[in-house]
Amino acid sequence: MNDNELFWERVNAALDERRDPLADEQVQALVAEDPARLDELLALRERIANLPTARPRRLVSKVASLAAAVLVAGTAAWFALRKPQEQVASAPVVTDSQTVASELPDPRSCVISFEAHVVIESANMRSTIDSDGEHVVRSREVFSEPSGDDASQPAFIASIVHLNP
Amino acid sequence: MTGPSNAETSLDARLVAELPDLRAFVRRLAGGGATSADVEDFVQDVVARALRYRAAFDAERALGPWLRTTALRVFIDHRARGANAPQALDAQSDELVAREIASGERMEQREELSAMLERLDPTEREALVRFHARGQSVREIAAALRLPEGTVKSHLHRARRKLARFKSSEEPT
Repeated sequence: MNDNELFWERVNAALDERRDPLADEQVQALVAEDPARLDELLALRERIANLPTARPRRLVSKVASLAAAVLVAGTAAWFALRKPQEQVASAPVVTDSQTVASELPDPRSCVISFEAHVVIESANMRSTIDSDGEHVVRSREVFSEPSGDDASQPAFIASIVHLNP
Repeated sequence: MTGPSNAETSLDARLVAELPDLRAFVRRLAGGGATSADVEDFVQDVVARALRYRAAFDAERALGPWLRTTALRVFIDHRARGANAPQALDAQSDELVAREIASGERMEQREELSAMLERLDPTEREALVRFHARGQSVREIAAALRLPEGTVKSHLHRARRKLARFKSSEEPT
């Protein structure tokens, strides 16, 4: 084993035991023989002292990429499952539970519960329908007609509420 | 009254001849933050110790390595004393100012270090960071990386050698 190999063996042995290599007598002797070794040793010591504690950048970016992919996939799934509800809400007229049920997502999807609160509003009527996904649980119609002095402000006429037990 | 022996006269003369190399070595050892006065004080301490232990020196050997070994021992003693000794308030405030000035340089050094780490093999880098920065044992690293302990040590040792030999941007390549 040449001096250089011996030097690094001693340095690594000291560092493996978390000792200061410069306190090792053999390292001292080898550094004294070739002062260029001191530069390497001091550079190593300084660089080790400044090592980042965080995970190396490549690993971090892999984790970040995975998290981003999961987030994108989750958001896409959420939108895909949410779309049928929005279609129900924007339908012009919903009159019974069959119509609501027909707009539900494929039952093979992962939706485990579904509730709909549909509001339909026109100039003289406001209808709200609550559905549990299969049945209309409650519907309510409020009828009104424009008041005489201000046509833009409807006047209340009647309210009908249907409750399915 | 007897004067100095021929051997002592010879050692003194050789010591004087070695001073420039010793000063250069001490300057390296003390680092860039040391002033010329610090280096001179350090050299004086080394020479004083060398003269105190001159009886242990074999006149047939080269003086340079013996002086450098002495310098390393003085350096280690200084560092041990510095770590334990309480500092004066002025010294502490001077140190704070020096730290402020150095903070910009440290940013550059960290960027440079990141670039060096990127040049390591990923397993070498992982072993190095886990061992030195996160304080994990070789056994823990081996378990985490699913590698034999001997392989982890090999990666760690290679990483240290590479890290020591990467040239700083301030050094000539």
